[in-house]
Amino acid sequence: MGYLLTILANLSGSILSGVGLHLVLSMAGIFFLGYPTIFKIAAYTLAISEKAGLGPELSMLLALAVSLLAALFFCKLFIKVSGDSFAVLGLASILAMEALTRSWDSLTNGVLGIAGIRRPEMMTSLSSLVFAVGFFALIFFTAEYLILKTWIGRALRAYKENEIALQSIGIPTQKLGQKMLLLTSMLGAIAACFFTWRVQFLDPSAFGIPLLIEFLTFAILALKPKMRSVAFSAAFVVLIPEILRFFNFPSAILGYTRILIYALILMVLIRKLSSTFIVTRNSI
Amino acid sequence: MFFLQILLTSLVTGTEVLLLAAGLYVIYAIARFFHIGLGAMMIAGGYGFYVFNEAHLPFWMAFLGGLFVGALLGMLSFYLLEPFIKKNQQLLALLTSTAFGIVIESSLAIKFGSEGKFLVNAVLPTFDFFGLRITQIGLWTLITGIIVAILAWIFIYLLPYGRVLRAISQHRQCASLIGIKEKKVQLLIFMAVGIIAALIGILTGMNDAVTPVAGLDPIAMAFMALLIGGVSDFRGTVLASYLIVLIPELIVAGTYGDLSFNASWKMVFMFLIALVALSLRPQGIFQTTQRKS
Repeated sequence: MGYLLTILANLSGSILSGVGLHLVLSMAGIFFLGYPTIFKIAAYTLAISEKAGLGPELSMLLALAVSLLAALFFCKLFIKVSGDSFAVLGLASILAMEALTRSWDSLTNGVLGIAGIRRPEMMTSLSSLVFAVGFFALIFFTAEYLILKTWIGRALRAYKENEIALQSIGIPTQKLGQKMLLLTSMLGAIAACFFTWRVQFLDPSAFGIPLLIEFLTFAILALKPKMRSVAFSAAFVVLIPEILRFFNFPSAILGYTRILIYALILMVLIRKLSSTFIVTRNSI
Repeated sequence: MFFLQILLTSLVTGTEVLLLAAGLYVIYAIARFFHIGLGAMMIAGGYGFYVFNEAHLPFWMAFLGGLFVGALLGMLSFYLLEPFIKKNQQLLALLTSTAFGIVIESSLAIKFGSEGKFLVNAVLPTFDFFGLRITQIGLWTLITGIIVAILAWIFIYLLPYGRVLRAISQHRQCASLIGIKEKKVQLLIFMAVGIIAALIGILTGMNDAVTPVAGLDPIAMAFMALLIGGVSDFRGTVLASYLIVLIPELIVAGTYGDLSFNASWKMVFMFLIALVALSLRPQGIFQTTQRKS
């Protein structure tokens, strides 16, 4: 039962974190590779404020506020630099954040990490937490469905197809991109808080490059503007590591094998789906 | 003297960053994307040397073996990325390059484990120049940097191949129209950059132990140097490569009352420097802003 609940929690968590990424990366084609950085900022803010004596709910609010500041920073960067530079700076931010959490011992407890993070009163058991994550995942899922049906959804898809054409019909593309980055970051921050409550432990290796690869696999798999592709991608990303359990890999290489498989899948998917994922700017 | 010692150490690390940034720069010039997988190719070169060295081959053969691994991975990455380069899908090329790098790193970790490997099992000599100390590998790195810079300059500006390279960099379609075999030139450049990356990997691995993920920080540093310097002006990249290493070194070396920083803070400071520099001069150090229509 515990195993099934964990899988359900992973699945709901994957949808929770994937909805925003689906909007910003799969739909709009904005390569927001700094997404795990937002996750880490939210998770560490939650854990640190709880350790400082704040309640879980207040800590979550603080985590969202700090993540919002970080997201605003990414928004500023988004209009300052080109698309590919924004992508690589996002990647660099993951490394910088890992270095920061590793180095700032007095705040983050360094490599030892922060253990014993408390859950809110109503989510003390795993089943109640799974229910809460599932509930939020359902809300996000429905909200994204509605967004995709409106002009915003169409504008996002048009953004990926032809940004200049979108500007010419009066839609401010930079503002649209920034709003999507903010929305995605907030959704990611909420997902990070739930994840932290579930595992109740944080260390600097959490939310690094492996998570980015997982997210990218999700986003590339869910290229279509359909909610079933989001659900399928979430299930795929969650179930791949479960299949690996049957192969009896030594625990020392299990993590690397998982990342290797994700990265290979990602390469194959990009190759196969490149014609549907139009991100050329020079062709305009 | 303390400052001069930091300057000398930064000069060595800065040269490593510069060589990687030069690789990123050349590939950006001919293919218009950032080859992030270069960091992993660098480490694979170091591991290539390690394998041949452990097989008790002579030093020079192990060295050439490491470079061969770099060239091979350069070629492999080219064939992997060529469809995206051809269709001008830069972001997909960037993503594939990142995934390619992670495939290399994970494969190395599965094969060799995540603990560090020492490429040289001996204490290397240190030279003393008027009180300033530099390791033998550090000196080799500086000399390699100078030799590669001179060779690159001769190749780009004095030889006909350089004209071909510059033609592709300025206008790929036009270069193809006048009969330049764009694909062949790109392949050779990818292989050459792979060799340079492997060379840095071997040198870095001789100074310190190599781990499968050790290529991530150098490639991020090289990219930040490239971005601060301006992606189309190499003078800025040269200056930024040294500054991005020197400034964090100086910050980390100092103590500020009760406050002090350990070496792992360097990456954080580098990122902050990059953000400040990009906020002030997003176009690069030496470039001037052009009016947009």
